[in-house]
Amino acid sequence: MTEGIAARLVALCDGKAVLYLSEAESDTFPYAVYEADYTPSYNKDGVYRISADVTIHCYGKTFSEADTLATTVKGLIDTGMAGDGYSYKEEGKAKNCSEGIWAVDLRYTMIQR
Amino acid sequence: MATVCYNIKLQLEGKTFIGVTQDDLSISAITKESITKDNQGVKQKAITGHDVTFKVAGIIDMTGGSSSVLDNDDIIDLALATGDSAEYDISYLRSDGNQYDGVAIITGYSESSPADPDSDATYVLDLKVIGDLTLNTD
Repeated sequence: MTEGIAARLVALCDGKAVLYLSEAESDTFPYAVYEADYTPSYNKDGVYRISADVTIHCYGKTFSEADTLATTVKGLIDTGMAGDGYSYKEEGKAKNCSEGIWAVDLRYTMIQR
Repeated sequence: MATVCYNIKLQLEGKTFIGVTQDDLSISAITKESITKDNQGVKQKAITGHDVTFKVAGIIDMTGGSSSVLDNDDIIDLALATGDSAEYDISYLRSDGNQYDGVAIITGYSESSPADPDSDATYVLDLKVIGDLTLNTD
């Protein structure tokens, strides 16, 4: 069941924003990676809900490049993430620059029921 | 250590409840006090019966029930019944295979549905056994 949130996220971005699992790295900017920490909830029939703390790191060579990608990803989530048993909540946004690479981080709680 | 919590279930009219997260059973003794001069000032207590109640808590699930599962609309219908039709056969199934049977009325039903997408809509059902709760030895 934990594949559902990630699969939906990747499908949302497919062809519109480059999004990889957090282990991935690329020399072609801009790109984004996601990482998710899953917590299942149980009733007596089994798992009825997966809650995931999701962070999407949007990387660019300039702040504008990273921020534009973050805006695109946020827009895709806002228009397509909710529904069909999925919901989400924005938890925050952060930005930083390390070794000349800008990162805009989007944090969400995403739920699959 | 054997896990026993998940498969203890209350059934009503042979059906389980949808989305159950917790079943609670409470047995309270009904006592009667008495005193005679032979008791030398010490009140005596005797158990004359028991109050037996169940509480069922669960997640509201709009996908619907089945022939063996009561959905939330079914539960509300049962909670709104009156008179003799509001008395239901219940079975309390324990993980050791034992089953306790009785007749109960629904004394309360409540739902809670917060706006936060991270929260669940939940329900709580309270039942009180009328008569005895007995171990089914069949």
